[in-house]
Amino acid sequence: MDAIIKTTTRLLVPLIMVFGFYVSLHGHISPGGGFPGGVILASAFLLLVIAFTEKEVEKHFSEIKIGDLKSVASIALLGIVLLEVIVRPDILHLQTPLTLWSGGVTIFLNLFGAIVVASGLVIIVYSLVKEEWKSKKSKW
Amino acid sequence: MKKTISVFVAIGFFLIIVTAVGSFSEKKTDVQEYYTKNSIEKTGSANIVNAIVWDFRSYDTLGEETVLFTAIIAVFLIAHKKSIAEKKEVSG
Amino acid sequence: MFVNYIAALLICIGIYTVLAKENLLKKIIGFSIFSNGIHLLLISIGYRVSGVAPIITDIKTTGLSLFVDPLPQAFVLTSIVIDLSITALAVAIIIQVHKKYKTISAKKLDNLRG
Repeated sequence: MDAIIKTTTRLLVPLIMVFGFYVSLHGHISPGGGFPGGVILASAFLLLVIAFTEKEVEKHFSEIKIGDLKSVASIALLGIVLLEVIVRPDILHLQTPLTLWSGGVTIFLNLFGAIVVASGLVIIVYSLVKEEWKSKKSKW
Repeated sequence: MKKTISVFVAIGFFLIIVTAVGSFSEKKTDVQEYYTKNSIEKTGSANIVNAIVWDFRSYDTLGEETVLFTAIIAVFLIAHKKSIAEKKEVSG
Repeated sequence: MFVNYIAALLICIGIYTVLAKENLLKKIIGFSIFSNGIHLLLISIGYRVSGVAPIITDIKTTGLSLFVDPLPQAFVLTSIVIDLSITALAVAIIIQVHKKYKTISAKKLDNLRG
């Protein structure tokens, strides 16, 4: 891709990631939640993969690190299980409603769900696209 | 032949859905009233959809996350598996 | 309400595409149209006349009659993720099928032996 797209991507990717975290962390008081936030986070990575060449992305996200995202997703899933099923902490009386610090543990659950969805989508997109690179060996 | 059968099946589904949906009335349901009333007291979150997803029906969401995680692992395994043709080329 | 008819039309198109097309990728596109029609149908069932989004902005005014039904929206949120998982898995399998058999036509795959 040419220089305009690369420069725009460099400017936009951090903003998209911040917006994804905003959507997932404010899920209990505004429209949004864990799944849309996770999808936005994954779309930032997808933009990176599209705009840059294979080697430039692999320099920072090598295949081993992409594989490690499975562990991140499983740990976040374990966190969801702990918070929802096993521990079930009751912290509602410590909070004030309609502010950011409200909704019990929903804010942590939203964050964990966003991590699971984002890492999962990154793994899926990267696996499929990388397979395409392997079989065709064509440049972008 | 196949396309004719497909057209008839599709038209049948269209008629079934149209007649079934016509019988749904737009009244308030008990479940909607319960969720709308008790969302801010029992869960504390102002977004009622989020309260349903992560609190009232959280086991549902847990199962759905498990399905997503399983799909991730399966896609990773399938996409990084060498096909049988490639293995034959390598071995002999 | 005419949204019901649009949703039923989408479901109809999706079923026809899944049944009639030979290309496996086109089958997946048809499945996607089908599930999107179902999501639209569920959301339109939950709609109430002159309802707003189910988000409480003030504690004192509960606004019980103003909200649309939040339960189908939560179900659709769950269903979208399941749909995404199914689509990703199917695409990954189709890539492997194309690698092995060099075709993604369902009819040709049916005629293959061994």
